[in-house]
Amino acid sequence: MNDSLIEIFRYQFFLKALLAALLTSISCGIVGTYIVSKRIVFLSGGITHASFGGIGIGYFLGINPILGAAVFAVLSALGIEFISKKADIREDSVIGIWWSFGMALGIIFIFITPGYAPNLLSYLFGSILTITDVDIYMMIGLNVVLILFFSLLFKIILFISFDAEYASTYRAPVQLINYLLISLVALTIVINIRVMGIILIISLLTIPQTIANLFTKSFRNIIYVSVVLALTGCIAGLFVSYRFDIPSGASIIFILVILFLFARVYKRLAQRITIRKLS
Amino acid sequence: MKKLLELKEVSAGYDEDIVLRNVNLSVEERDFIGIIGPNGGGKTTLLKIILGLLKPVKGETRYFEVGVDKMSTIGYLPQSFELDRKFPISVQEVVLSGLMNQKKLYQRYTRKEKELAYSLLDEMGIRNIWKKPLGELSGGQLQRTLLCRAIISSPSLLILDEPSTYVDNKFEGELFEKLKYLNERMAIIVVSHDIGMISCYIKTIACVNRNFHYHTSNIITEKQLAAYDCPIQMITHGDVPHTVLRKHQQKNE
Repeated sequence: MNDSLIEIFRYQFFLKALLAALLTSISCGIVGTYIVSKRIVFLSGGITHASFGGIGIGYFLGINPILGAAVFAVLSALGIEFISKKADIREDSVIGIWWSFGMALGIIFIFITPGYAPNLLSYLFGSILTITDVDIYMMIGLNVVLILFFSLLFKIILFISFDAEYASTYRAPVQLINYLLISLVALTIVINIRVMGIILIISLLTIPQTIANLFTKSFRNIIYVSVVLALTGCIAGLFVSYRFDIPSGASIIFILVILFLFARVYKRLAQRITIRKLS
Repeated sequence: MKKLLELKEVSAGYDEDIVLRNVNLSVEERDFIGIIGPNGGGKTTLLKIILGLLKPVKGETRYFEVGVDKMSTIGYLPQSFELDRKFPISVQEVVLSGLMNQKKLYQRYTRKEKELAYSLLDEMGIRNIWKKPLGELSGGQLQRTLLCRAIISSPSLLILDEPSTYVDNKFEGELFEKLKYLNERMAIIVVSHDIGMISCYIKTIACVNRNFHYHTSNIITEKQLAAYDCPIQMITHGDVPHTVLRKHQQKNE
């Protein structure tokens, strides 16, 4: 009786983790493709880390830290996008400043919040095995928005991301679409923080896409391949984490990097063979 | 001749720096204007004003058939080095994106539009690279692709910014033959620092060197260039068009 209960519990939390992995892979696959193609990995890293400020504020106010992080991250993203367009400051410098300032805010707010800050480490390093129903609902919502947004507006997203100036000559809503996209990047990062953590989330936004880009040069296909690769990495990482009792986020990244190395070597060998055949 | 657009007393620049002063220009149907001038003289600024990417500091821009408020837009061939060649996009996707001014944001490309794109690429002799990613194209192939994007929406004005940089002479010749043919359907403005090549195709010349001088013929003498304060390669027309390189003193320096 007791044993079977534990079995069911295990089964359920593992199933939930798998569901979270699937949802994370889809959202990170889509948004990561945009980030990598548009070369805004550094900006995304900045938004990710700055969102720690929101987590601190969330603790301080006694609300869900992810909610605090979401508001903070979207505002940071819009702010960085706006300031680097208007003011005469280099964009990467703004990102660097905001990156560290957000983290500092987070540390200060957590420090002055009375008592112990529960789950703090899970926000930093992720904890896919302790994902809650609320997290899952937020992820489902995010995925629905992303899939709708990217499938309905695919052409214009590609058009603007590739050549914003040309799109401007057509009076396309370049600014609006860019603001919406950067907000979605921020939301994707924050909602997936529970899975991978602030420090590790950038991996799911870059490694699968970079592997995919070795084999396909189509935006759409990079999305599809990245989702599959991210899911593979997550599931394999989960098993490795379970088997060797190491943190899941780090295991996932480890698997993804190994996949990347294999892909790179495979690509090299394939190229050599083609060259040899030609000569 | 129908007027397409008009610049009246336009001055433009960035922040405190006025790059262009008092430009008066009207572009009419089937015009073929060559814009020449030294680097930093304001050629690109002038293009940005015409394209509506930059607001004039002074003066006004009026569009009659084309441009900012109209469905039919200006086709534009930018300088290709500004583009990210590694961006994951195919030739087909780039060319079709030239139709975005005629489509609702969420509409898909129709079969007809895809066929149009394909036939344009065919005309340019690059239909075999139809599915290729942009990163695998040569300089000439990239320029052809971007030209297809610029003309797929049948604009009434086509603007080209230094179209012959980074391409070979053969493509340059082909390109201008192509432009001559397109000129039967649309007005063309082409920016070039080397007007030797374009002089026998263009109809009029605009010299841009902070100030603006419009020269209503495609023959310009060294004396006139000097009067326009426009240090640039000299062109003479003969049986064979040829270029005489000559520099002269700039007054304002």
